[in-house]
Amino acid sequence: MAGRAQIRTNNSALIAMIADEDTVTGFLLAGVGNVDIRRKANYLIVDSKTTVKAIEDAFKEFTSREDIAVVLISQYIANMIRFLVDSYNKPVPAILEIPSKDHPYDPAHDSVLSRVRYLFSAESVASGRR
Amino acid sequence: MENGEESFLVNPEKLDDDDEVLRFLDSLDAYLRLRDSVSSMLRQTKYCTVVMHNTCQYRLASDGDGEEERGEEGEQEEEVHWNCALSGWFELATARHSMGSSRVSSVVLDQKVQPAATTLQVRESVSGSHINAWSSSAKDGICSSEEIELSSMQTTVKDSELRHRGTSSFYDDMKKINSTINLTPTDSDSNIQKERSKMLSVFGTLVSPKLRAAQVSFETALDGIVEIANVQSTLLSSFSRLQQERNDSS
Repeated sequence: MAGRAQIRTNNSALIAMIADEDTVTGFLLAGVGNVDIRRKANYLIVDSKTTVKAIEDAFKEFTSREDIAVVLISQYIANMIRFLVDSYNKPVPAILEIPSKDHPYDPAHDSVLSRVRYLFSAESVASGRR
Repeated sequence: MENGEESFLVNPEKLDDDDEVLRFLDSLDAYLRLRDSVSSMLRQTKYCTVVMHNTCQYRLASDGDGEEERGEEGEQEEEVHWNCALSGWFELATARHSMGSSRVSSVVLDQKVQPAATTLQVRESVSGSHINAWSSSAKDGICSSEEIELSSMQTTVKDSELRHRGTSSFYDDMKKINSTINLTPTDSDSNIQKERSKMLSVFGTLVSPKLRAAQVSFETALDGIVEIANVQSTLLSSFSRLQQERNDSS
């Protein structure tokens, strides 16, 4: 398939998180937290003092690491860096937008659903059937 | 139109296109369904009204069906009425209420070098990447897994000293998988409990039962998240194939 990125088999890939304190704490309880020898963690706790630049840097770092398979990002945080999230098109790591306790999941803002939504427009269906 | 329909019936390429469309729609349906399930697992607010008069100041409004009940002992500092089980964030909030904000916060999170107790296995498959969730022991580096095929529901049980969370099991399927897996209950359960205790020990020696419940909720949500990641991979690969076919035909 043209343009398909090579997916490397990885037996111990990590889950990265960019979310609020409660969400990160919860998933750390589930055992996904990792701190490597360079003291780099696989999560970023976002609060009111976290800058958009820090979120962008964390997103770029997690999506470029080879040992990360999934990046969980709260949807309200993804909205802050929407351009970056929507322009991401690699298969691994997978980007999953998750709700937070204060911001329920909104399918209208989900990057995956917004990408496929146009397939359901009347115009695209009609053009496909010609 | 009739000629178009006739060509549609006899043209095998059209049938392949429809297979791809069906695969895409199925994966989209699964994606939306799993999204809803995981959101519910993390936060189930429907029909619940919680009023907590404490430092947490956590308040949720129901959809109008919730009722407040006063305890027989009189008005207490904390009034809770549940019509559904606590999950995820609410259990965490309850644990914070009982243990204190300073004990259940990001400040206590350990910053020393530690490998993740739960890792993922990524392999390439026909429909995109496929992710299994499994855990590895930090002590002796033993990694083992039980592979659960998403389509066939067959399980391969290896000598498993450690916990494994399957990719295809979620809610309704969980019971079926548990019945087909022959695990040594004592060995796997004790290792699971050991891992869980290790995670909980970050928050102190004596922790609230709600914190343990929150841990289980987030573990279950993690299973759903792995499944969503797999469905998303299938969805995006079907979508890209459909897009390419559309571009080629235009």
